[in-house]
Amino acid sequence: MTSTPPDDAPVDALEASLVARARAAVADKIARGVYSPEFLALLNEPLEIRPDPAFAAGPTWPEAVRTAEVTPDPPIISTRPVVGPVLRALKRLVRRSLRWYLAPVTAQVSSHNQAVLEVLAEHSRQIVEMRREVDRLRRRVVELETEVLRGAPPGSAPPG
Amino acid sequence: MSLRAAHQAMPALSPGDGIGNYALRLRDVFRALGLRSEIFAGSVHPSLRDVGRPIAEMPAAVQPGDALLYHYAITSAELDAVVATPARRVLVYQNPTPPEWFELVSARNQRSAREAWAALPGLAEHFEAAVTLSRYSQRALDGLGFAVRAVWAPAVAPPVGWQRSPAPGLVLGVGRIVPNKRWELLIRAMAALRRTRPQARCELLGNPEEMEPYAAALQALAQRLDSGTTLRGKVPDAELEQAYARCAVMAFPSGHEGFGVPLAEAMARGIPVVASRHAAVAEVSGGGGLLCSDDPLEIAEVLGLVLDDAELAHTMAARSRQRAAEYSPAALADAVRRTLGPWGLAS
Repeated sequence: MTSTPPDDAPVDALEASLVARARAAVADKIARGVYSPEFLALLNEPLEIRPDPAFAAGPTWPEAVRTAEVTPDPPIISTRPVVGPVLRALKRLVRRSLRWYLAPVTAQVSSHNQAVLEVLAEHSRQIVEMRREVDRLRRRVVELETEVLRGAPPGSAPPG
Repeated sequence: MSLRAAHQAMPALSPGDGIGNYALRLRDVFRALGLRSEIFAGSVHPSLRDVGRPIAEMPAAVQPGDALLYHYAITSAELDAVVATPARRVLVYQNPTPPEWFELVSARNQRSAREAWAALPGLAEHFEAAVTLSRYSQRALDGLGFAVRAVWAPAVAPPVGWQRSPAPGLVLGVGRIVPNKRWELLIRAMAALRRTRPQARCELLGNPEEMEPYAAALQALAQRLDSGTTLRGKVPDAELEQAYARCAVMAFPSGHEGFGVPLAEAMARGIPVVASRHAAVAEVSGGGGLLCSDDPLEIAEVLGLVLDDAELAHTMAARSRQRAAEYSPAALADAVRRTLGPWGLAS
């Protein structure tokens, strides 16, 4: 990722002197081994982001996540005048009487949906990572082809 | 004809959100200037129901000749509703984050940012004026055809009676956990800082919502590097104020900002600030903070200099306060008056 270009703010004397001191101190610490090569290598390791599955799974991914959990107790709604309260009471009664049957079924469906989501998420992440690797390799091929065209031995330039 | 009302609209009004806080401050300014002012939003957080009104009520409330501001960070149905009103419309350009920052982290936010950037050039025909929070953001509107342009920088005064009691070695980062903030730079800098100052530690306060892959990567990096950094997530305002009071220095390594409210808030509280030079950060810092390159080792050294040198910390605190004095409610009111004066705002 590239940063938005720096603004053209002036550097004042205090800031310039502090930054110069800081840069000298960094160079000194590297020379003295305070920052060892191993530490610097660790510091420069890229951020390991596990990609958002939606990049490969598409825009319906959030809906798949939202609806994975199946509840045996969805809201009971009836806004019909007069009979509404009776209907709500009736629905509650039916639901209570079938709970022994519905609860384990919905639990099993939810559990299955969750497992499927995890498999899909992992596959999606792998697809995103493979696409990035393909892009990287394509860029490398272009670099190598350019080197060949220029007459330089292939591989003489560092991978980009 | 005199201006009687200045209303605002946005997709969502939420507590602790930069755009929401800015809108609330603007509403106070409008009302202090004698204008009627309401905030309309597509979704209003339950805790803000007494200050925000549903967008469905906007068409009836907004009259011809009223000013209506739309806070533009994403395209939305609310934007269409604003454009359909007979009001004098003002685009408050909240500088959408460039979409590439969301790569791998959030497909939804990346898509939304792309749409916002793509729609921007066509907005000038629907808006009479454009307001930005910084000159940096104003430059992004160059050549897009907005007839009137103005900078209304947010006001960031600390609470009355606010006092600092800095803890030695405590570095603070404040801002959303989102890739353009580049918190990994701060974590790496902390790891370097702790090679020579093992007591140094860092608190990182910010909302990771919808940015979970980035937040998880930061968490892993913080542990792998033994950086002494704690990601505390989104905290209530009172806790944020406590964190500001406790920290010895604030770091703000952001790569893209339309303004950078936490930076200005820290400066208003007399906190020494170490920041990047990117986007609006250098402008807002304006000599109040120390600006570094993107090298975490350099950031670590500069943080160390401020932590170790009480006199330097004192000087930086004074510079912070001096700079942030320009981000006062009075300055915001002046800017509003200058822009809306020609629209019939009574002086």
